Amino acid sequence: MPISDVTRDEARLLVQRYPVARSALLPLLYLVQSEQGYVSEEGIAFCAEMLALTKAEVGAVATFYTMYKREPFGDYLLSVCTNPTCEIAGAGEIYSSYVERCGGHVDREGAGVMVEHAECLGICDAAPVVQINYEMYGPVTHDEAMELLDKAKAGDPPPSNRSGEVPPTIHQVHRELSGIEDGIDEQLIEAARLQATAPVPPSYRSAETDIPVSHPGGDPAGHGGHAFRADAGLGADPRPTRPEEQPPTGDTSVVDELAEAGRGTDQLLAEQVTGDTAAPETPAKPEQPGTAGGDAPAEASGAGASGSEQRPDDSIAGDPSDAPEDGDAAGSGASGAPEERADGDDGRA
Amino acid sequence: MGATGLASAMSYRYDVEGVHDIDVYLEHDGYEGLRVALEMEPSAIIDTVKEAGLRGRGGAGFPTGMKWSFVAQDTGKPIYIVCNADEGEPGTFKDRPLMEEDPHQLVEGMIVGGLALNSVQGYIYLRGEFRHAGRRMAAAVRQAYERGYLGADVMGSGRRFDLTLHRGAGAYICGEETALLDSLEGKRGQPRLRPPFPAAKGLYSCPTTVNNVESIAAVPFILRHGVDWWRQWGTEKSPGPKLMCISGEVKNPGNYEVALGTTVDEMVEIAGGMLDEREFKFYCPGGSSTPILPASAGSVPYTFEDIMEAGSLLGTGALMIYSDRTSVVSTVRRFTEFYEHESCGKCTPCREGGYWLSQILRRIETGNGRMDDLDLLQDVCDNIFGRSFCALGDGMTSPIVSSLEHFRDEYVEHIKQGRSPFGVEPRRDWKVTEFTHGGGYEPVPPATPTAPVDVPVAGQA
Repeated sequence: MPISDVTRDEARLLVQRYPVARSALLPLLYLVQSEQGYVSEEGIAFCAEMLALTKAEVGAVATFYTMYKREPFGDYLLSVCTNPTCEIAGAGEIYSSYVERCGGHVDREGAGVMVEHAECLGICDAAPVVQINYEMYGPVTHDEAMELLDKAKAGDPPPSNRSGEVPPTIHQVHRELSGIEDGIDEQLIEAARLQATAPVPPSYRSAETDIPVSHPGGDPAGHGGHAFRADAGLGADPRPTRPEEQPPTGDTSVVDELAEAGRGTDQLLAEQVTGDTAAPETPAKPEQPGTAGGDAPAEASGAGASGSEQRPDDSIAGDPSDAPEDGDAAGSGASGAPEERADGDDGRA
Repeated sequence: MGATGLASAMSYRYDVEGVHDIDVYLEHDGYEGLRVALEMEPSAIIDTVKEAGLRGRGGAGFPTGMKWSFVAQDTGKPIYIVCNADEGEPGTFKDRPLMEEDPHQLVEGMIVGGLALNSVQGYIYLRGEFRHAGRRMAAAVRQAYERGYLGADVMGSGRRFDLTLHRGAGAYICGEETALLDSLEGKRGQPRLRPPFPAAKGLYSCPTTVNNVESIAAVPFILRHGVDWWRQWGTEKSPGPKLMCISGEVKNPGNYEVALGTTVDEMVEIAGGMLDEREFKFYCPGGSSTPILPASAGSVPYTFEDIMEAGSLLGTGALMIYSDRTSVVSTVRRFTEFYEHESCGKCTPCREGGYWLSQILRRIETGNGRMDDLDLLQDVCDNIFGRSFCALGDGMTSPIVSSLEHFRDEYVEHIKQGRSPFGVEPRRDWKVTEFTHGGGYEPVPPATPTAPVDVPVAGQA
């Protein structure tokens, strides 16, 4: 199931809300999870493409956070807080009974539910607490808790006794969590653009380097990258809104002209430009599901290498056999195929 | 010393019907603090907060005004103010009610903070599981934009401030300020090495301050009502009211606003006294990361300095009260499993130590403990405390070390009898050596024939 065009457009809006594109990663993961019911390999590839990251970088983030699920389960997620205050009040028994009745943690019958134990849900005055799709119920007796499970399975959860809201399906909740429904896109996009194009803009990689976002090695998918391209006369963002709108290739010649015209004053800059602008059409993209632009030429890998100090993903993107990743992929290192890496939780973290 | 007991300051609008809507909020002094702030110089705002003696409400108790004055103003880069709304410390539930009941209070505080710091962009990093709070905050931000409190021209002053609501995705460690910043940058939420401190290089390497919800929401009140108003509560070193989260075995657990300096025993009474005439046995003064104290320390006034003198920390104001029916060993075991589960895995003492501490505590609880386990626990804790990257590791050791100090007898009885001294059968429903799923709370599921499968347990980070 490919990522839809609507999602692609919404993802672009989310990316533009931040002065540095990568900040939109958590929202984007919610967005793909909303569409597919879980964070799939395809969803990871999509986020990587939108943010000019590697799939390894995205997978490392997706597996770190508990609210990104790596398998489909249906419409309702039930979380039981089992911290001491709730446990004393009987949450342990509720959780055991849930697991027993579902025959495990996932029960796809009916509307489909997943049962998980949660750490403190921040509502200890209502212990014991159960959440359905992050809507709170508490205090609940054991019987009430079992009724919640049955009703969720039947696709008809009752309103929360705390907020009075009936939880919608997890798809809708994940959509809400992405922030796409906050309704202030215009203002936030303008604010992010102003910061990224300020005289001293934010840095692309904090605590590591001070590369500004408007540098060719900076933030290719964000406002800074757009501003750089505009200043250098390289035209619009080559990252297409929709796959079929991918512009014909020819960026190298633009750069050549640029270099000949002396607009990019030193050779180094020209090389970096080549690496930068070629990146979105690197040969790695067609192999990712969800990207249709299969006719991009494979000329960029050599040029990309020169910019690889700032853009470690270039070398990886051009080399499907995988290369060592920087610190983000802690624990998974250079071993294994991307599939293994993505769900490889590094043990007991 | 100011007044003690119940207070009605920051929570006074909680009971107003519909105050989450901007119109009702404006009828109840809404955005008045901001109006005052717009008339002031940034440095004057910071000085006022300093004079009020506001101390950070997120756990460390660092003076908020001083923290703001450290933010570098001369780099030319954008300055960011980030609100830490990733409330997750076990026992804490003060920020979520504030955002659900009175979300504009936080929006107003963020704008005032932005004015004080010459920042034009704020972020609220909200815990993802707080769906209702998220809904209320999003609506409040939208309304504030519509009415011109946010945006290019704050209340017609010509000054800009934008506010982005950013939802986390379920990681306790993102409550640590540098981990929060990494998470906000779209990375794994792992703490950064300091220095550089966020005040110099925080979000996107720009000067940044990260403050708790309650700290930020307090500032408009201080500006509107003055320093003396704020100091009418509490002590010289710990002034002001505090949103308290009183939970556990009390009759009426809940969110109470109490002046700092009120004793713990009084707060138990405020919460209706002990449940079912149980006997008060021990408490966590400020969340599970703070050392537990026995009931005999209940007469300590609840201030930063007095709690510290008693051997613990004030933390987030999460007062968890436990009775004589509750086993210290089980409680500490569950806290330890929490930290094991939430360790980000960046540094070895915390990652490995949490795993082994949980194993040892589970061994004791299931009746397989050995006497030298007590020294082993202490030894492992000594190797985690002060040797971890961030405070999560230190917090992990707090309940263990303090319970060994105050309730060693109970551990000894537990080990001798091979069961809880409360007549409770040892729990046999755990795989004691279970480690494939992080060793977290993992009851043996009945009749699941398959070997280690993908069991979706929260927090397999």
